[in-house]
Amino acid sequence: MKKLCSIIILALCMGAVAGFWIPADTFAQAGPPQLQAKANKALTMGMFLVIIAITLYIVYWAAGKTRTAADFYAAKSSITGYQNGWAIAGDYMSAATFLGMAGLISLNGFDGFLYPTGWMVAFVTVLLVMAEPCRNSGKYTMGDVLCFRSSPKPVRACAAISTLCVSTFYLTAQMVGAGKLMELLVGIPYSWSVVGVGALIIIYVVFGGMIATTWVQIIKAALLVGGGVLISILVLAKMGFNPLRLFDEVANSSFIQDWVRVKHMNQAVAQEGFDYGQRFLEPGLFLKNVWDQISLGMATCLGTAGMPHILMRFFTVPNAQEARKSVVIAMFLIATFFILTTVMGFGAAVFLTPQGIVAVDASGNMANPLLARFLGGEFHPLIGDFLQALVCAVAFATILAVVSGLVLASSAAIAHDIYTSIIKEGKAEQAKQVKAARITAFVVGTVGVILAFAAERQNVAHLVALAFAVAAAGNLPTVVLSLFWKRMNTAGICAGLMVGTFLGIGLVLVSPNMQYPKLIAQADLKIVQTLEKKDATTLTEKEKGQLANAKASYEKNKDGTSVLGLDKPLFPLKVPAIVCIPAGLLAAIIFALLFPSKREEDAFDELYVRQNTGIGVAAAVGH
Amino acid sequence: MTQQFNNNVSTMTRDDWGVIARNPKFQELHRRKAAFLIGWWLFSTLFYFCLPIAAGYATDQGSLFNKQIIGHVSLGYLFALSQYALCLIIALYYAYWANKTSDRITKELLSELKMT
Repeated sequence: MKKLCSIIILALCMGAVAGFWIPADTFAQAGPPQLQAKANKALTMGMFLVIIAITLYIVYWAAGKTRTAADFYAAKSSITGYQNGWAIAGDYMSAATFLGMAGLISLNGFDGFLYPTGWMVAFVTVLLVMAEPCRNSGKYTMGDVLCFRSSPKPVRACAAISTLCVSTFYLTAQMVGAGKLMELLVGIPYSWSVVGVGALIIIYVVFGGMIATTWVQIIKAALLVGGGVLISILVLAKMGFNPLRLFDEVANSSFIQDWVRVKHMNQAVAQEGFDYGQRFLEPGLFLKNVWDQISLGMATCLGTAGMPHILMRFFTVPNAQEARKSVVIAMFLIATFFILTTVMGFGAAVFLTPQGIVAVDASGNMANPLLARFLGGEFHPLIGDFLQALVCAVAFATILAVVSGLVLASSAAIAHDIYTSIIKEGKAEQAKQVKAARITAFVVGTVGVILAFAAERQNVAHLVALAFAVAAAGNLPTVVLSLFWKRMNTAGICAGLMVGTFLGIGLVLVSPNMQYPKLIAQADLKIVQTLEKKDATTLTEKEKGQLANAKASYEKNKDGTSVLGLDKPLFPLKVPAIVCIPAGLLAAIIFALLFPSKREEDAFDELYVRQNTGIGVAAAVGH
Repeated sequence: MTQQFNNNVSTMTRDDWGVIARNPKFQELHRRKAAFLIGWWLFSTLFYFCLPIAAGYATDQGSLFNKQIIGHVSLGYLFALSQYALCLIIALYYAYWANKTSDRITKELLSELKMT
């Protein structure tokens, strides 16, 4: 694998050098290509079935090895660092990364590239602060790390609440996204795909536990990186393997220039001397509010290290050295994939044009599958069908891998932290613990499917940012403080977790993410007024329709209020991280100082020695 | 969870852990780790937040952030790419440093305590 990677990198470098001497011919097109959205159903379903068959075989194999709680939650800590690195990448990169980011880049240029940078930088925090200490001081869950020297019952309860909130938000966003994607990609109805995905995940987690989940994630990561490399090479081949030419093509494309001028800058006539193509390569087309951008940066950059399903992966390796190795490998995979996304996004913008992409789907999610079809279609229409089916299959595997990681983390929070540790006070037999874990995994999976049905018509995009904001505000400060600060204690942990979690949720409920009917009514009123000013006889059919719609919408919304009865948002930002991270941190510190605990301070030496040296971890793992 | 540790560790008392914590080798490990981790973490985090801030204020075509460096590739793009490069360099450097320094000191400490 390492050899393969170096060969690919070498080829790209040589191509870049060679590309300087190859004369550029432009990809002039008469109009935006007519794109067909639906994939070849038989081929795509065939690939889905192959993935399902392989993963079910893994579950069958893993089920035989899952007997104890250590098997179920942590794969007996027998995963190697190399395997875990791939699994972390598979756990982390969602379908939103694969399809959404390429779409964002193809429609918004630079901002689409800026957006995921925080998700990458986040891994520095994971590597330096979280991975090794968590491996050395925990067993299966974040609750284990937090209650090392604090009172286990309140701390575990709070940790379970925060884990469940984070996982449920993220899970709902993923499930709704999965249903909509399958509808769009292959034409499977929303309800079928949600139930199908839910059923598969329940099977994976209930029977295969962490062992099956790990291998599903490894396979998914391999498919994802492989698919990304393949499409990127095809894009770059058309550019003579010169990445710089891709930028030239973007800046010189007349479609992209028109797109930026009309859609982003609302100019009907071109301004003399303004480089609209270059504007696509500059920031500010998608992320418009600086503070929202910084807040989102904080949520992603600090939240990743507090995501329970990521933390849980460090308990699957035997020691700190392997944990370290796995993060480094995951970072390389994620960085490679994110950078390739630029190639894919720009490739889609050049070959398919932004106008062509939004004609199929306004969110841009279809950019990647359409690009694959276009590139393959250059050789033969069947190869186009095949590549599009491959991209759909990668998206499918991605959804399965991420959601099973989340279901496993949630079921561990309920079964290990609440049932085994609080209700049974740690005295449950192995068989009972595993049974409890399986039942909760089934329940969590079912709840995920129900939530996906309930939220079908809701905008769930903000739930992802909310999950990261809560993880950054609640989980990260409390875990870091209890690992590194002697005076941290039960009061501080509970206060930090609760303030971080509920302040984050509260702020989102009063943020611009919610619907404010009065604001919608205002916008409608404006349309009505402008259209009514015009002479009624000159209105086109389209404008008449617009007027009727605006009037109806105004009547419907003029007296409405948001979920909490508000007329307009109280909190101006879409991402609450910039407020709730400092608040969570402060609450943790203040409450720890207000309610000092001598016993917990005395126990710090043991935790600190253990988390730094790993003393005792081999014995705990070997059990 | 203590019952799952081996005898050696499970019979250790609070004072035993205190003895290790005051061991000069452990103190050295703690000092060098803290210096390395806090320094690099702060550096990478501050370096990252320069990006959204700079990008947020660089919507003007003439600004330094949007200055074209190689062909149509602007300084902003190179800055964003440098974030990836820095992350990977820190990761490799940390792995190298940890293998060479913190793992070695830990090993020495454990053999001194006869706990390996």
